[in-house]
Amino acid sequence: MDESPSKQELRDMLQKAAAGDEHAWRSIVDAYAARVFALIRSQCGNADLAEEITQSTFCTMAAKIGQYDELGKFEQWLFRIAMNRLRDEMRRRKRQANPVEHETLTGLIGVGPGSERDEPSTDPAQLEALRRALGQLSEADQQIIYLRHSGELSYKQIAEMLDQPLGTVLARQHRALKKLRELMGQRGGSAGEDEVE
Amino acid sequence: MAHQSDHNELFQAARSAGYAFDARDRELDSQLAAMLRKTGAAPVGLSDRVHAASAALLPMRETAPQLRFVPAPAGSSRQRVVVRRRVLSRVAMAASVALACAIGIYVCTPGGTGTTMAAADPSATDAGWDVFARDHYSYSEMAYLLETDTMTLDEVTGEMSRLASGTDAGM
Repeated sequence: MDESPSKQELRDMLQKAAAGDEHAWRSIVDAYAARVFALIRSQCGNADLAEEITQSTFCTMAAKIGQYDELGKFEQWLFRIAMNRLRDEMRRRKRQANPVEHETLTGLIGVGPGSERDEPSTDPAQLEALRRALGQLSEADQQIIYLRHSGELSYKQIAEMLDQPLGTVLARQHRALKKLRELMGQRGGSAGEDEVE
Repeated sequence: MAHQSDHNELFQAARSAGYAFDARDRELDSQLAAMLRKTGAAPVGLSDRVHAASAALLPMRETAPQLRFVPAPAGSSRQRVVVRRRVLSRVAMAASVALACAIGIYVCTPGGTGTTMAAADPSATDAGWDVFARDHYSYSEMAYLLETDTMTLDEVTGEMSRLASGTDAGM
């Protein structure tokens, strides 16, 4: 995943893209497409749908970039478009009784502890328990967790995007973690145990 | 990546707000991050496809975009929407406009001979043939029919306009 550009770099890229510069646009896509994909996929659990929504989001952005006024809130704008797209799609599917195929976590990740990066050791059963517990949180609490960990937004950005005070966002994140701990404890999902639901 | 500073921000804010944050919260937060990072890993070629889908929609592009579905990569069960360019044919556009004007002028001209000539032997007069052709053939077909020395569409357009304006002595 590419590092996010600095504010000045982003401003330059946006200006050039607004003038039709494909190379600048490509830089923007490279910087943000993976994060948008991660955010959407973590919520819908379906890679194909996540890619569709990612493409749709960037198409919307490209079409509107000429009118976009960069005031340091680009990421909030981008992720808001993506979240709205996802919400609209999920509503449409609900109306059509066409649920999303949810890929299970164990099918997506490698089996075994650790990873190529310096991460906490996690086994598939533990992760599955965590994912199920996450699904029991309120939509608002889940949204903050996804925006932070999948979308890689700062709490300040999340607060601006959701139009909520920063303290509210932080408090919600804190309560979500507490709730998750309770749920994981009920499942016996603390480290080292295999029991899943 | 802002995670580490956000970690501290979260814990400091929680502490100052009176929440009791401990090492288990930090560990759980890290597990969440690890889990969501793994499930959100981007598929190979994602940026290429997103760029292909969206670049043509950038402002100040010369050509108008058109949506179409393209085959998804092998193994995917869904098709994806991408954008490709549609190249507009200036000649066809100009010829169509000229034809529409010619037809409009002809129809509006009092005493027009369109309906009469449509039934007449088109070979009787050059003007009759032209009118017959205009009523019964497509523009490209007319270009072919009117062709004597390989007329171009521009020349056909000019011919139709001339006829419509009534400058042809035969009308």
